[in-house]
Amino acid sequence: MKPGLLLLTSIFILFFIIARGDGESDPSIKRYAVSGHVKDAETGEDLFGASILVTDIGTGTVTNEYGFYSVSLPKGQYSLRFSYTGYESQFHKLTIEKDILLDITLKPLLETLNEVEIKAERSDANVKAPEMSVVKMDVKTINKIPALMGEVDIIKAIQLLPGVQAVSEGSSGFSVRGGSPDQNLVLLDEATVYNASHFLGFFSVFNNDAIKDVKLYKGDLPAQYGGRLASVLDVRMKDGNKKEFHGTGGIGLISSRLTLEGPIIKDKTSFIVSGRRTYADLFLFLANDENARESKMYFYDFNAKLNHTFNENNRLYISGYFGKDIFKNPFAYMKLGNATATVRWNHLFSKKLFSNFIGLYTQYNYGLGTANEDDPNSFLWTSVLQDYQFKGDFTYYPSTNHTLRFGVNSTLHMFDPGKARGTGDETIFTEYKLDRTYGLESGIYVSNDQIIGSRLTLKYGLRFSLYQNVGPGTVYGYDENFELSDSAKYSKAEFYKTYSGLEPRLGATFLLDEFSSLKASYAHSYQYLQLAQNSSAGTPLDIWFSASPNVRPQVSDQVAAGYFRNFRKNTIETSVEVYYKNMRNSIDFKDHAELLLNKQLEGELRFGNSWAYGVEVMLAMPQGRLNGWVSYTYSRSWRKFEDINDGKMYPAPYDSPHDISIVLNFEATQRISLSTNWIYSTGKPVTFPTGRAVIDGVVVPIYSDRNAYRMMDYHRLDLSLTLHQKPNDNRFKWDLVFSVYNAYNRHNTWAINFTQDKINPYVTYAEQTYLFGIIPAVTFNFNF
Amino acid sequence: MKKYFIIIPAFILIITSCTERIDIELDDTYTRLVVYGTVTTDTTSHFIDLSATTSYYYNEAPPKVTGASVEISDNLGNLEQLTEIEPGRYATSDDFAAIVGRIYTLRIDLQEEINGNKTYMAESEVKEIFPIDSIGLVFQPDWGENGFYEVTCYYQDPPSRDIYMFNIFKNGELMTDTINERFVVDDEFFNGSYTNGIGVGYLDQSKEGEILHPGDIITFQGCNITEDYYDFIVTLQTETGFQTPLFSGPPANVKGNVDNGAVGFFAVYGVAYSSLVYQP
Repeated sequence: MKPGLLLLTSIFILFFIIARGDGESDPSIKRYAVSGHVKDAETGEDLFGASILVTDIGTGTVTNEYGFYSVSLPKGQYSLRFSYTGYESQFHKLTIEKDILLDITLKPLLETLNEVEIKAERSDANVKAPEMSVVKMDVKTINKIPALMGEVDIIKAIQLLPGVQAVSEGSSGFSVRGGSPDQNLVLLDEATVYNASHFLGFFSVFNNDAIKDVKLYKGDLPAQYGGRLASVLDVRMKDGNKKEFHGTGGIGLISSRLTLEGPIIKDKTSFIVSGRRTYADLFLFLANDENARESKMYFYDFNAKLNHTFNENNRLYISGYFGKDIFKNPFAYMKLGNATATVRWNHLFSKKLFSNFIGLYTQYNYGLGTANEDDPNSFLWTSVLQDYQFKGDFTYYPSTNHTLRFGVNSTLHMFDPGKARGTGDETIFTEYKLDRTYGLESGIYVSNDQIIGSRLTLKYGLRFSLYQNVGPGTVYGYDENFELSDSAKYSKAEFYKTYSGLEPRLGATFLLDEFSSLKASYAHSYQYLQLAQNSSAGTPLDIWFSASPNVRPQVSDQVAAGYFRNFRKNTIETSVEVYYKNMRNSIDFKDHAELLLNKQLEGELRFGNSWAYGVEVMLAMPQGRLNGWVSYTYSRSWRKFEDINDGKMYPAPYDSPHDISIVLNFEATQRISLSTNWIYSTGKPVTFPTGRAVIDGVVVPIYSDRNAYRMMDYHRLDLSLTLHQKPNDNRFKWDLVFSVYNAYNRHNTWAINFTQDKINPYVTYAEQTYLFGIIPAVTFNFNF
Repeated sequence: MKKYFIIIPAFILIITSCTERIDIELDDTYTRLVVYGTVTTDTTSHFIDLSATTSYYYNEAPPKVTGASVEISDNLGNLEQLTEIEPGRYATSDDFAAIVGRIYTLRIDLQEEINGNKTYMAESEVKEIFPIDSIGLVFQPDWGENGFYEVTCYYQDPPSRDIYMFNIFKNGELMTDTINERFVVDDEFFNGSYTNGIGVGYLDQSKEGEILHPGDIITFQGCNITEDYYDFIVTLQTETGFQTPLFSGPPANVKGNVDNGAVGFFAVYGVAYSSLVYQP
């Protein structure tokens, strides 16, 4: 526990420094806090990331995830400016001689074209925010992006950002800066979502109508986050309209959705419930295959949230998600789903000390079975993963120059990787069960954002993370050839293996002038959980496994630097970022690894090093009639494992050197807006045959080195046209979205197979499978 | 069994996906010896085939390896010299049978070296086969267009861990006649149980050669194979089957049991039979 002690010491030292004060915040001067929440005037929703500027001294703060802000100032007269992109700014003149509570409601700008041009506040956060490799997207932006089958999807939207790629056509899995999909921490109201996909990944679990905003950290992870090497995707649900009852919904090609929200006690308690159900199975009768015609497949999901403001110091949020996928055909069925529940209590210990206590539960489970349960050949296979987590996060605002964050968290993981049993009375199958394993993952962190002078902002933090394997459990030992050598049993509540690490996180932002800055960051991170999956797009049959006596935690060091420049009064944002990431104890799998229902899964693992580097260039126009972004990424990602590919280095499965995204939206008239996106990326690496053997009449491939070839390059154009209703004063409003996915019908390779000709089996040829040709869709959206 | 699981969700893809032929240029690699042969406890001629690897788009029958000396010996010192009955095909005498419990060694001496080697060896142990009580036929009308006949099998699985290969013959003709159609199963999910009608083979009633007529004789052959041979068959089936980004791991070479970098397998195993006459 020495590192823990070190961390505690550093927390005290930090407090000491801040309490003593530096040159600009003399402690002998008493400071008073101006604090409160910034909200949307129409819905009462908290605004996250609204900026508060004390114009007299040129510094300020931004609201946190709960819309809370606090600025500590010495006695005097000040003017404060509150602003948020897409909202009218407000100025307040204050005489400060005691703590002041100031809740602000900002009015959204009407989306009429001229007003947006004139009044919109241009955020300079791109240049000035003390963070890099971070993108925040709001639901309005995501809604404008043309979507596959008209299903607006957060994850598909973030895949258009520089440094982020889909792992495969249409997949919800994504790779950030060459990392694996399981290196992304996906959070929904702070609960981990272990499998964020529906329908084998073609749709994500996030129903856009229930979502408020999304923030993606691609590196430069804040100290409060840990446990994943590549990224954190922080998705937050709407709180529910505090002023009036409203509904939102839509009818699309494959699904319908409805969201209801409103106050229970005006301005104090509100709720939101949101549901979505697909009816894709209605179209199955069109399929040629009889089995497909007799099949059922659908998914549904349900989000609900309740929040209550007890008083200015106490607020409570309860939220949950539940979703399921069902597939059925005459032989078999499969069900899978996620569930999360989050309870949060915001408490202000003082106007300068904000705290948030969280209890949460998350679950991912799946089951597969045969349709006729009484048959002696019938079986049922189930798997469950569950987390119970507690977190306490604190933010302390001692002066305008310091924002101190600290907290603790602890998660109990319970893995039931698989259980298969016969279902019939006369079953031939004996139960085959992989024992439940337990792990306790904990963290404690402290960080400080410090403004030094008028140009430099530092962000420095330290996280201490701890992973403990808890009994009961059986651990198998392996020899140098990865063959089973022995096993050890551990009793209940026995801590049989502990890993820990100190994770320093550093960042600096230096303003060159009003419109440009240089930023740099360093992050050291540990990852204790990973997914046993060696297919590139991923199946729903997830098996997560943790660090253990055989598996050391993955470790990453990432450095990044960037130049950020805004043009034309912040209407054009540009940035160039470079990064280098080095990872140790990376995990890959042996050839022909058996990952499902395998008691000796750890014997299938191989360990090595991996590294990735790249440049990301972005040009964005966040507002205006023509808005969107253009980005280019050059990135490489490599692995080197002693026991894979004869020890030679090889490209990681998600290595794709060139990637271009163009996302544009044009508000053509008051009623019509047009959107398009075009993406291009180098084909993913792949292993091809370089020879063949004929065995028993079958052509057996002899392969190249791992990932020595590439798929064809991927590119695709999507278009959409949104027709809004004529402007009027009706409460009921609608729009109609026409979209086309893959507009020029590119046959993008999803899989390549080499096959034998049916007539002359000695003739072999390559065949590609593509998933989507041109797919048009229509969606009708409404709100009232 | 695990293979069936992943077939289940794959049907979704039928709806939108399309497959088309494409041209991909491939490099060549060096030539390797290809060995394949099976020897069973049946008394008959058993064959070992020798050929060479080629470039992937060779598009003809592989070059045969002729003129080699091929012999099989057991751990008791018995030696069987094989004769080349057609180019690249080497046969034992017709009174040869493997005996349960013995370890057999294949030795090949080539006339000209391939990949730097003239001598290749492989070894295989013969595992004991269980007695089969009986087999049955169950019609599954919902499967496929015209339904399937499922061949069911009744026997007591012994307490040892065993791996089986199941072959179905119709009127003496092997239905699963290539290695990528072989039905192999690890008993880990039913070890020690009485296999009360476990499915061991399927006859698709919409496939010309598999349609049953009254009086057809169905013969079931159960083989107890080694784990290495099982892995060989399963990985071969994986590498020659349809691969998708959803369910397939990175491609990798099929590992055999012949030394010096040769491709292929030398398998020796015990077999047991049970038959019935089809009466609808």
